[in-house]
Amino acid sequence: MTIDVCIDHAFDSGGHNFRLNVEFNSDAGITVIFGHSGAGKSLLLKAIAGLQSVSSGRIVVNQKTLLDSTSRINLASRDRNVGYLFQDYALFPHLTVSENVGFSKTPLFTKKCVDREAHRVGELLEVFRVKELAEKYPSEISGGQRQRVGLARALLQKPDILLLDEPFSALDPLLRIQMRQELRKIQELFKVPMMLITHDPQDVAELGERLVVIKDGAVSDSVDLTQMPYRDQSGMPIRPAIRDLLFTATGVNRA
Amino acid sequence: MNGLPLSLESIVIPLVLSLKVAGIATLIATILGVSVAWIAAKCDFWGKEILDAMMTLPIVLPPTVLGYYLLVLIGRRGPIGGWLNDVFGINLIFTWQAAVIAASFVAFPLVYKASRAALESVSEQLEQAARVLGKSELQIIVKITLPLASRGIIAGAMLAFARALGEFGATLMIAGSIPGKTQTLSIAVYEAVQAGQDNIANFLVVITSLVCLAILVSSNHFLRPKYRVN
Repeated sequence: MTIDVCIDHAFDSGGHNFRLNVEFNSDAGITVIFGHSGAGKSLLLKAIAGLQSVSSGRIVVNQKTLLDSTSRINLASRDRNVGYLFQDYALFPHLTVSENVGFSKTPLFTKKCVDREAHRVGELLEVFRVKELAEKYPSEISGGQRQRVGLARALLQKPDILLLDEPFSALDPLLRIQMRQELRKIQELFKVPMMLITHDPQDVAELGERLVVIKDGAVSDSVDLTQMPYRDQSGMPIRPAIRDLLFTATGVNRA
Repeated sequence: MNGLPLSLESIVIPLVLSLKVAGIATLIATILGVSVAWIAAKCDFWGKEILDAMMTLPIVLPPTVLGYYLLVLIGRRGPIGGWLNDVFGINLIFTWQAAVIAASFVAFPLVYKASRAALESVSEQLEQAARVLGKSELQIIVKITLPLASRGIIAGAMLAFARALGEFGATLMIAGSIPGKTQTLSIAVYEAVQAGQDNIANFLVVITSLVCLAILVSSNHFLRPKYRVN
């Protein structure tokens, strides 16, 4: 399982120019894209999902070419088969929890998913511990539950890759710790490669296998954290070392 | 009280005609209003705000001015009316269909305005989420955009129906006031008062008020949401 990303695109928003020019690859289970707000992380994730058009580039996920500007390949979002967890989960407010999870397998005029997928929807609801909330609307459940529903909805279509946009930023700290552990379990259970963007060093330390640091629209560092020598006995990367790495890569001077 | 004795016909016929005209006009205004509103809400093009102003014009124009425009357009010598007359032998002026056209025009901006606001309020992120989940643009409209905008669209359609039911000026100019054929409730009230038939006028006024009240009560009922957006 490999991801190859090469994107070059100049944005012009209200006289403010910004150029995203990144190139990296990863074969890790969880790739963490780290960078300050405004470094271009969200644009990168949207470009991979096909929600943001780019002028030139190449994106290959698991030997499937999603975008190749030289051979004029540019798959529509709906044909890319990527899962996407939005920052605020983007659950459909007019659909119940189970209708949200089944959404990718619903016919045009019905809210219920097709019969052959109903069983899998039930399984996912169970795995994500939201079965008893199946008939509730998103506004009636908590933030952590919404995130699990968002994950279940993205996984129903068996995506080639799961993109996560700052998945923990909307959660309170204790829930954040719990969801990080859950995300790791989900990765092992579903074997789906994940790419998550964050500005929280804690996410890098606890989840990252491949770390890609983005600064001012370009990759400033790409590190295989599993190969890093600085790990403690339990195999967890040692945090100060990662912190040093992040300070150097983002160009922030230590006080 | 003076005037002619009250007959069932003098009440029922204009009432049924008004409901028919307003119903068809609301249907036309809703289909066109939602379509144009969708284009205005989702597409960017030059002259969009001019289009918006043109679509809103029937609210602010005096009904007689609108009636005059329609008369010029669909009259026997007008560009549309002339063509209809030459090709199909159809004459619209002083028919109930002309009343539908007049009512559609005055009702259109109400649906258009409400629908545009409702469609623009649907979060683009939800449409993107559906796109990533493998849905086509048509499926996104049917499953996400329209359901989430439906309350605004229905509210606009209800107002449009009430407005179409009360339409007077433009209807009088292009459909006239032919009893049993083009004489709607609001025109029948005017005619009854002019003719001094106070008992008929009283009855028509009460009926009209009750119908409008029923629309408002039922719209409040329909528009009660079963979910919250946030």
